[in-house]
Amino acid sequence: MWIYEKKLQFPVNIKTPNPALAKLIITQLGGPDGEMGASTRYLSQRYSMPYSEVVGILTDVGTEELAHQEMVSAIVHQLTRNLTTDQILDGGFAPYFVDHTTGIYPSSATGEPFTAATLQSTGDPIADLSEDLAAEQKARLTYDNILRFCDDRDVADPIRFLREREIVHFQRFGDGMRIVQDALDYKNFYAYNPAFDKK
Amino acid sequence: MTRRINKDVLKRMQQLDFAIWETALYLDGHPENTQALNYYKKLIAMREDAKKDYEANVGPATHRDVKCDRWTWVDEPWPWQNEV
Repeated sequence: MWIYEKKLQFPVNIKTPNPALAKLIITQLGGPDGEMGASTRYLSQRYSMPYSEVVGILTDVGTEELAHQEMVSAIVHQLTRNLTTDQILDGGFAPYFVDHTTGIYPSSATGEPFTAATLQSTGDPIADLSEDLAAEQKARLTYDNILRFCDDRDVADPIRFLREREIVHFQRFGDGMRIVQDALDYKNFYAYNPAFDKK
Repeated sequence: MTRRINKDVLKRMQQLDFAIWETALYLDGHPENTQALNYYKKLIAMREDAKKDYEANVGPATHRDVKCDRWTWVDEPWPWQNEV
């Protein structure tokens, strides 16, 4: 089970609203490579993972992604505080605003609601970890793209922190992949699925 | 590494934690209720007493509770791995 800790993993203190930027950053909450998908993916994949060290990695990275949902939500929230209707219109925020006002709704930059259709839990350790490695890189590049539009340090600093965590998670899933491969037949990693086939 | 866990000790902690959780949930909506707050504090004290027994017989509840010279956090079983 989980217990909530009443603090952000990294501080978020944004003073200047920017609804246009908020509309881009929300994708890292509910978009195709966002934090909600990341935690759902890793925490779902744990049950079929036969190697305890890798279950630990999936648990701890999946838990950290929950904390990142909170950070991304805090950024979007602070970027959309005290908006005037002119700011909402000029920032292209009106379509989001009519549906959600300034509430936090997990969706992509183009407005699609969060969907588990962009993630997988295959029940195959090598396939799952390959997906996880790719997911971390996709999230990293999304943060890189967001940083192209961040001229406010208050926003860029926590985004850079989140970007760095993607790189660390990629490394840790690399450890996980090595653990899985070391446990398999080195001549053919795909000879059987250690999560399903009896060996 | 696989550890044999004491199910009675585990159940005791699950009962205590559930009571704590239920009381916290109530207190969220009634933060001025001193009777509920005192009950909450009593449960927390009971949990503190039970914690050492839990860690010795079940294992670390969070990775912050690892006290060995070995990373026992990844010892099996995980909570969904029951004996069949």
